[in-house]
Amino acid sequence: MIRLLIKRLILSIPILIVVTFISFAIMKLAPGDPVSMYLDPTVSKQDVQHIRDSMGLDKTIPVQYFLWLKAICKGDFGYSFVSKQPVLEAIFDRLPATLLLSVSSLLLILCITFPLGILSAYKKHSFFDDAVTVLSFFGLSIPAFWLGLMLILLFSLNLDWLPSSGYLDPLLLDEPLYIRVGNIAIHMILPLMTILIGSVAGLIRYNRFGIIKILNQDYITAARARGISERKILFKHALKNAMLPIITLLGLELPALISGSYIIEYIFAWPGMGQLGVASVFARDYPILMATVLFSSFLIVLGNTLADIAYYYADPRISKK
Amino acid sequence: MTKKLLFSILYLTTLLIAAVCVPFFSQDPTLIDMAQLGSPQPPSLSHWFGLDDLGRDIFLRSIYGARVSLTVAFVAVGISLCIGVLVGIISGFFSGLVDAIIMRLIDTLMAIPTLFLILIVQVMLKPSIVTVMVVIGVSSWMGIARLVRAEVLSLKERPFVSACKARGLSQRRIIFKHIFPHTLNPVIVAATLGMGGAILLESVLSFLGLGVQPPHASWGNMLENSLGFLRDAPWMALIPGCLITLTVLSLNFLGDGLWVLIDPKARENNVRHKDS
Amino acid sequence: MLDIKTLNLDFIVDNERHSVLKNLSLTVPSGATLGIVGESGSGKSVTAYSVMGLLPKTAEVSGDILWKGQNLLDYTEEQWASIRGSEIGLIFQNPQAALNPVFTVANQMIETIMLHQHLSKEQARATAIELLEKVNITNAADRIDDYPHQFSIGMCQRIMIAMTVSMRPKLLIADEPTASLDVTSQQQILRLLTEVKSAYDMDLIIISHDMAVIAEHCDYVAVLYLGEVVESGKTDSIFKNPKHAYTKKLIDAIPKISFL
Repeated sequence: MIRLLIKRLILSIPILIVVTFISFAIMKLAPGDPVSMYLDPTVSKQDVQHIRDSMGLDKTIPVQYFLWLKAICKGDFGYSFVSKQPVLEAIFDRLPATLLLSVSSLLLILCITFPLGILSAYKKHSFFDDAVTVLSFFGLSIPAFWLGLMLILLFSLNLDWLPSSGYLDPLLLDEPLYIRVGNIAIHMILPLMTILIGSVAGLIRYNRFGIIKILNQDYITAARARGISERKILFKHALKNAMLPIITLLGLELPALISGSYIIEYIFAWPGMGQLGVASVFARDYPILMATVLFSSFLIVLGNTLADIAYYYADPRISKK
Repeated sequence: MTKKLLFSILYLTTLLIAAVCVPFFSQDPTLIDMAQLGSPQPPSLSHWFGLDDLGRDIFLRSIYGARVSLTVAFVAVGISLCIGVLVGIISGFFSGLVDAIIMRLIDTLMAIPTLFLILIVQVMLKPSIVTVMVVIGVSSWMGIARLVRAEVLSLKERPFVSACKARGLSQRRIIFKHIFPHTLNPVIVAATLGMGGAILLESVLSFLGLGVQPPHASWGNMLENSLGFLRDAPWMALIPGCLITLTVLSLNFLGDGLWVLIDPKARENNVRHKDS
Repeated sequence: MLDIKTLNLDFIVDNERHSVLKNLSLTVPSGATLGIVGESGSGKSVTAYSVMGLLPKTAEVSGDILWKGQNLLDYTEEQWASIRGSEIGLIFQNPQAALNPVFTVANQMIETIMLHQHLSKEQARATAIELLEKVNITNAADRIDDYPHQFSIGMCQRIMIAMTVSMRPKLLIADEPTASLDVTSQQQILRLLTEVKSAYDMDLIIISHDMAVIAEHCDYVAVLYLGEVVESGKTDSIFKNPKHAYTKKLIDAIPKISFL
């Protein structure tokens, strides 16, 4: 298992290298002088030149790239233009919140898609199936940010049931853990709903189609011919086969899922990497932007690798040759 | 002809006609009514979608917004088609090293969070409708390239290609006259679905202020404008959002319907006859 | 025990009615092997699926399928589930496709055995291994934990036979059991079927397009052509005296080896 993981990660290195090119290009192509962002007008011209040299800005571009790469590997991602905080620190501060949202949404997606997809496929063309199909088309067509806004309008502004932004009510900072956790969960409800409605929609249709194909297979008929109950056929025999294409699809959808969650973090002011990223776009905080691109791509590559490995182990036709 | 397909064709045709004809029938949608400043009006008989905070008729602005969205969709998808089909054909037809490099490139590009990158690019350029179209087009060609490549790979093995080669036809002729027409099937479906995606992307960009700039109307920037009035004038946010949803929905229905028509294997109505 | 009377089967697709079986009647005499022979599309497999209640929802059936006097076409889904496997068993044409690729053979056999007999998991596993040894799967105790794709097609068919037989059906239907196999495996499987039939005292139906297979292994034969039984009776008499033109064609199609 470890060998496979390492092998896959090594194969991903070219991708990560190209991503570093792109990130570096962002830094370089950005208008404005990076040095001036850190200084105030009282600094003398000689000192400015001195700082320039120490930042390596007088060297050729390829050399700058390698110096930058070296710094990155050491964990030095520079400093935010806005907060002057080390970029790595700023991002790591935000990472837990993003992971919390992403992992929860992923789990919920799986829990919802499978049963709905299976039932939909089984009761093909029934009212239930048609309703699920139409709803999923809607989910695919709604702009996520607008959905977020509408949910805020309904549940926060009109009904006042749920908070419209943030992560934790600042008044509860001293409360015991379970109260804080509960409050965080309440804050998560609207962002999660927004993410789920969009992603579940697409996955259900894919799942349904895959399961319809599976239900037409000989081994399902053969299982029925042995007197196995419909329930067991759906939730044991068909389900395990249905996992395989879903794992691939999740891997393919990952970039869109991550990008999309950034906008949602922004709308709901959820203090994650995405909110920092989008805010930094407006603030033209290029060091943060560059690092966010790097980290996001890394997460995507990691996710794809994990999906590959999961697929390898889930399908015995591959793992046992 | 299913109900979904009928609805989408009717809706899209109406939208298209309205979008094309509106400049001939109405006044400037950016005209501000000084008397109504700061007091948006709900939908009424005289103003079907109501008035926004600057006294502008929302119905009119919505149709102008449709012009923007549809134009962006067409052009952006057009760009991604041009790039995607070309790359896909080259990759599929020539195989070998060229194919390997191109596929790796596509894999890499698909590993990058596109939306985020688009935001960054837009912030570096001066955002306008043109930059939006180009940026969306240039970031969406990968899926089409993959589809086209797959088609070309399977077509390459067909006997008619060997027959063409035996007749001494140049590679160029084989590609463009014989192979290319067959790749159009999946491409048409992908293009239709891609238009929906382009509209969604444009709306996000405009909403964030990185797309179509005010005072020009785009559904996305109308939504951005509505933020301050969410509680008091919810229709300002509801209407553009519904329009985006309905339009993308119709495009999705259309694409889905086309897919079923084009790909006989996709017909789920197919009964597996247990014959023999 | 199985008596089919005037069975009509239509498939309704896109509002069009396709007639597949017309007035089909056949009986399986007690303890005998019945062969159903015909070419592709003649309705052989559909007949088997009708008897098992495995037709798709687009199928419209009428007539009588009498099993021990009861008309199976009146059965509810629960009643069907109770006779499938335990009363009537079905062997499939493509045995590897008939096994779930993501579960081990052990998992699938134990599931089947525990469903039909009151045994614990360990006992079911032991029974399964025993059955696999009986059908000549070497090293059964180890191989039972392998996945279907790790076996050859011939072995998969034997596994299928073992699994079906574990349910002790009174009637075994083999739908083109040798269609996917090479010639040597074909003979082995057919012999195995006959052995198993007498060992477990079952009626057997062999469905095939190959008249030679029928000739060698079946006591009775029903010839199917375009959904109708055109001729039926004892195999010997049919071969000696074929009455229908199609039967004659099938018999003539058997390759004969003659010494010159």
